[in-house]
Amino acid sequence: MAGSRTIGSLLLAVLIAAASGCSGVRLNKALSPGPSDWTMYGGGPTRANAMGTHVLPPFEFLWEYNAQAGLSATPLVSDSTMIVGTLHGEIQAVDLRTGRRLGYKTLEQPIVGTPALDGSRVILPLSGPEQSLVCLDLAGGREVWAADLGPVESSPLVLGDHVYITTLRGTVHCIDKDGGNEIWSFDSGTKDRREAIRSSPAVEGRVLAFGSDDHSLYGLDRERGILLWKTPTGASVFATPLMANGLVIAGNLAGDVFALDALTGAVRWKYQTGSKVYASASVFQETVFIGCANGVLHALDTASGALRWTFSTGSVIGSPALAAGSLVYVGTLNKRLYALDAATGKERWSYEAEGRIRVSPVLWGDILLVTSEDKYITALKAKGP
Amino acid sequence: MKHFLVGCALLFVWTNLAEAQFYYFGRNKVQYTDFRWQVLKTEHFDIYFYPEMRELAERGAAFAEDAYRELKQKFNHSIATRIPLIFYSSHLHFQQTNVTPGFIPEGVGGFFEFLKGRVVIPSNGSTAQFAHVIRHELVHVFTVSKINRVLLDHRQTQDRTPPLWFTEGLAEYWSTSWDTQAEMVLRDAVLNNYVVPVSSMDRIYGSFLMYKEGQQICEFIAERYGEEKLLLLFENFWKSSSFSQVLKHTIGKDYEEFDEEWMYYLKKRYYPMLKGSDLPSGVTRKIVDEGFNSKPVFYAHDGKRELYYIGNYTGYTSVYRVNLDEKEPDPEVVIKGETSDEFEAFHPFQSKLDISSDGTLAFVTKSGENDVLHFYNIPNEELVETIRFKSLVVLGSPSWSPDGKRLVFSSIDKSGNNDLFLFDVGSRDLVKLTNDFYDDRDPAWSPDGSTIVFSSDRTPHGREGAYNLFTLDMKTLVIRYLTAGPESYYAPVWSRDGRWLAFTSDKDGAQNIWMMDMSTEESRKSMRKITSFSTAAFDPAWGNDGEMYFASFENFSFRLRSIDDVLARYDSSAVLHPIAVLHDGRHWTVNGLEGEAVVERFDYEGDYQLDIAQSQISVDPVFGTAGGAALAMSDVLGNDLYYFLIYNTAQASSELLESFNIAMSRISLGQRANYAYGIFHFSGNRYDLTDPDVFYYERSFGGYFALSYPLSKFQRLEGNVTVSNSDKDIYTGEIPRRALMVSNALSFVWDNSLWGPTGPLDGNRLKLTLAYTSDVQYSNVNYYTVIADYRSYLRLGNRAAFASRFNLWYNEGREARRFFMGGSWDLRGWRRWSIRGQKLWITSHELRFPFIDQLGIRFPFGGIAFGSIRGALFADFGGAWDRSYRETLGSVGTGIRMNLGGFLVLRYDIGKRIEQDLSKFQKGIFHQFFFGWDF
Repeated sequence: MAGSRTIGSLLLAVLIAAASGCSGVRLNKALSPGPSDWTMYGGGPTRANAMGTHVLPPFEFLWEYNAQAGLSATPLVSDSTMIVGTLHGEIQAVDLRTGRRLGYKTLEQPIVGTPALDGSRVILPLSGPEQSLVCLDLAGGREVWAADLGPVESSPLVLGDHVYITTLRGTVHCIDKDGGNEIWSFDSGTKDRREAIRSSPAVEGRVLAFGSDDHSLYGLDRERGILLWKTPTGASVFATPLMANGLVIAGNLAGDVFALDALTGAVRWKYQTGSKVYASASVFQETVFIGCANGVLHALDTASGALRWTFSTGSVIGSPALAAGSLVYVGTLNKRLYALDAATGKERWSYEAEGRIRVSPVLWGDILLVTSEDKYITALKAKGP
Repeated sequence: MKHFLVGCALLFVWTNLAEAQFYYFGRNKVQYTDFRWQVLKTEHFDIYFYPEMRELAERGAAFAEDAYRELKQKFNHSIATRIPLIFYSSHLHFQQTNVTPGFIPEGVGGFFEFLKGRVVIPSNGSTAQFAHVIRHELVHVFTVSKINRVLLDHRQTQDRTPPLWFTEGLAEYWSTSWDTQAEMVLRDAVLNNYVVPVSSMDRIYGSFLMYKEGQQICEFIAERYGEEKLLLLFENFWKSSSFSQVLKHTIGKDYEEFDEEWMYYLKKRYYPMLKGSDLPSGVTRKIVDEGFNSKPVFYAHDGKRELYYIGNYTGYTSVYRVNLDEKEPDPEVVIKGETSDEFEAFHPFQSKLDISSDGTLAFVTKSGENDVLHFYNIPNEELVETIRFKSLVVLGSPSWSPDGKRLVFSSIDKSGNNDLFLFDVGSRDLVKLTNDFYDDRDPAWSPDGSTIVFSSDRTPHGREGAYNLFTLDMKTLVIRYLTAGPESYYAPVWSRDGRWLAFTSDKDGAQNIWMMDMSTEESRKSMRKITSFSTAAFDPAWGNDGEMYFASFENFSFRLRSIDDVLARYDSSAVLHPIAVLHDGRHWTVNGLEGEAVVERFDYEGDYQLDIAQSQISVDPVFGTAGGAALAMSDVLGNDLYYFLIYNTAQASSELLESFNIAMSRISLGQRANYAYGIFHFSGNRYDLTDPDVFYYERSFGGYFALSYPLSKFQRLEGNVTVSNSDKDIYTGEIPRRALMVSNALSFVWDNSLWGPTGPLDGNRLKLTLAYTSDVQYSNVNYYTVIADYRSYLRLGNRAAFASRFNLWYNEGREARRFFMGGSWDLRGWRRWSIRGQKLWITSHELRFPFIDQLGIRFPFGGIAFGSIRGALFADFGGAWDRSYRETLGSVGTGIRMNLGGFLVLRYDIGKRIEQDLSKFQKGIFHQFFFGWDF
């Protein structure tokens, strides 16, 4: 009798284990949005890459999650649940308290850009030619809608009832977030020449801004999709613009950081970093932080572009810094994450990850999520009170 | 199972060198130099070097760190492990490396080895070139790492790489500028209509043209579409297994669409050049049009006008001459190179020839460890003397003093610096004229003996690789600028009266011949262009009566041509360039490593890493179940190799202990005498290939020692001793046999053969072996072996040869093993290994000739092409016997051979056997289809 009970328990355990890793995301609850949620690339429509949280290092190891494939998307966090998109085309849900996988769903194409959370729904950008923007209901585990926009390697932006997205075909789309219907679209290309858009859209007020491989920064009327301005920068803009204080701020592959007037596209200031800028900027109060490929993080005055300080990491910075209170966190390809004093640039703490860091860190409460390209996400918990 | 057997077979080959050597010829990679390796650790690199080249290694370390800093930004990537960089101070030292087992040809500037990620780079005296090669190879390191990362991220197997034209083109594009040489090659390809489109790039796989086309394509993509597209080709690599589609994803065009755009661009760029310049063949006189020719020097004697030069028509680089008084000069070999120890290798495009007033030709070859200087008396047609310099490694471009008593030449010593040396032929005194890290080359002694003009990178433009001309006053040894510009000047040569200096310069974009009037200080301030070729001219040589001879590049070959009335051309030349000479003493320096950049320094003591680790379980209906593993490891320099094999053939638990098969070997390649030793224990069922009726169980254990001593590149002595205890249990009713066997063998091997696409075409191969095997305990086995194998290849033309083979294999004594033959490898037409005996002879004769150069087959869905299909007519004769001679057998026939991918030769033969002691032909004909190189 005892033996059959043991076998039964084992079978049950196997079934539970199989169910927990099954190919389907079906959360047993609706995600309740909270103030410290990280629901889209850059943390919000302005892509500020900033958190109001004031958590001080040092951090201690909490858990490590193996996503089984490369990660280029920032993990999203809401209601103690972490949502991760992988380059193998999986969306995975993870319990933030334990690091255990809650479920996953395999899409047909890699997820290069960061998805966007809207309550319990997630908008997934896919790198495939068809059905490249997919809305999934995480609570119900079903596909709500899908749009054929051509390959997408940028991150969608959810604002109000709309989803905004750029594509490798050089187009920008505004989609009805409930039904997936297109509200408007904008084509940055011409009949003869069409360049990809890898930069994600950013929104402040009525202006939607993005960069393009055609060397320009664009400003659109986000309600109607009409071109407001187009400002050439001299080199491709891979980075997503940051919008702050009426400015559109982004660096290009020639190493120039441009601050444009969000309404007119006029250049307010320009700063040469000395190296390619792959990463988006971040902002906290009056300081813009922007890292570049030679490993130097530049802190600039938001209004004037004047240099406040620099910090050299010694390796490539390919992801945005995270501004969090008095600190700014930046990861590099030499596997190291630095926490710097936002006012002075002095190093306060550093951490060596499993692999190269090319995804921005995320802070949720007192938990710091560090993604390294060797498919790991490490959760670190602040040691302090 | 198959891999396991291959692994076992490989191990067997290594652990049984005594037997392996019976079958193999091959040249020798001789470890002449005893390198004392040291390690320099920097932030990203482990740099291996020897103490004599410490300064060069530190400069290289600084270049490597600079390149790393730049490439990590271009690739948006970092390398997760330390990168081993192995430096050599000269190409001759580099050719001794064991990092790769193969021979390194003259033109290889460095390589990246994928297995352990090692980068191996020699210096050739040029600092700019050293930096270029380091950067080039590091692009490969980043490329491989980035591609692996991208595929791993997308959970795809790491089983593909971008095409070679892209990886090499990008390595060139990101490591050097588009220079005159690259321009020369591409101009020539466009103007002579042989540019190969991207879609057909496999046709020129691995060639210099592929490198330069690849570089141009990368430059074109960067200029037209943006440099970031090169990065995106990596980022998009996961999107398709077809690189054409990856290109389409990245720039919107696949190969065919891209070709259309690129080809049009090339035509627009190069066709207008014909308006202002000419192809050499259009405006000059032909001397030699075939093959690759360089470094001509003129000599007139006994009423004859002759041109001596270094050429290659047949595959061997040699010194040739042509009689200029003949209407169609026919090249004649003066010194045959690359077949003997004395003239092991020429440096065809690097070292010039010179002839003294009394007719002594001075030239340089590699011979043994270093280069040597040879004197050949032209009137007597004999080699007079060969001079060896103990401290000098590479020699270059000897130039006679006017009285023929002294020579000046360039040389690289163990430090890697290329300096000028003065050698007194009578007293044997050697004086170093320059002593710095600048690359001094092409010295030319003025007819009055007062001055030496030479080319060097010692101007500030040398940092970017530009070479200018300098004068060295032979009384004061003061060096002065003759030219000073960002362009390059090479190969200066004085006119007989000492008034004129001819040289080459790429001042106008292509390398052409220029002249300078050396008579006054003022006249030296300008120079005039003598030729205006769209491609290039090299190595001018003065002839009689205003003639000038030179090498030119056209239709992807280096030809010898001439022009007349050089002085008239000078007078009428419209292109006159004033030379802005810099103040003397303005040189450049190069930064070594700063203090903090050196992490650690220490002597190298061996850094071993795993090469292969494989385990396998196999099931065979006859031999039963076997399971085991094989391991191989070697040090980072490839000097020491260890092989381990363990497997078990037990069919029952009681057999477990005695059924272990274990072999351990160590092979040492770091010294001139290579040796290997090991121990083994083998047990299991055996099937004797030499005697198909014998199936037996054998348990043997013992050890062996093998030694191979290369006398030169072409000759070696081999010896081995094996001690083995053998218990043999034959299943066919015979009694068990026990033996404690001691086997000795001594061999002499000679091989200077030259290979074509399917086998040797020229040269000779010889192997003589004497061996003795005896059972020292029970006297059950006791026999001696004589093997003689001679093969000769008589060249009948550039691509045809008559090959002959004479083999005698002779075993005599108790339990002497039997040899076998029959099949495609030896006695063709006869069943494979069907002719057996303790004694065996065979002779084969074969006419090898080109059959079809290119065969293309088009289908509606595409096409396939085969290159270099060769034909053969053959006759084989042989016989085998144990005690008394039985009969002579033979075969005659014809066949075709085809090389696939450079490593596999398919052969199809058809013919008739000659049977019954050569008394009758077989009825019908035989066909044989097999693979393998011609004998």
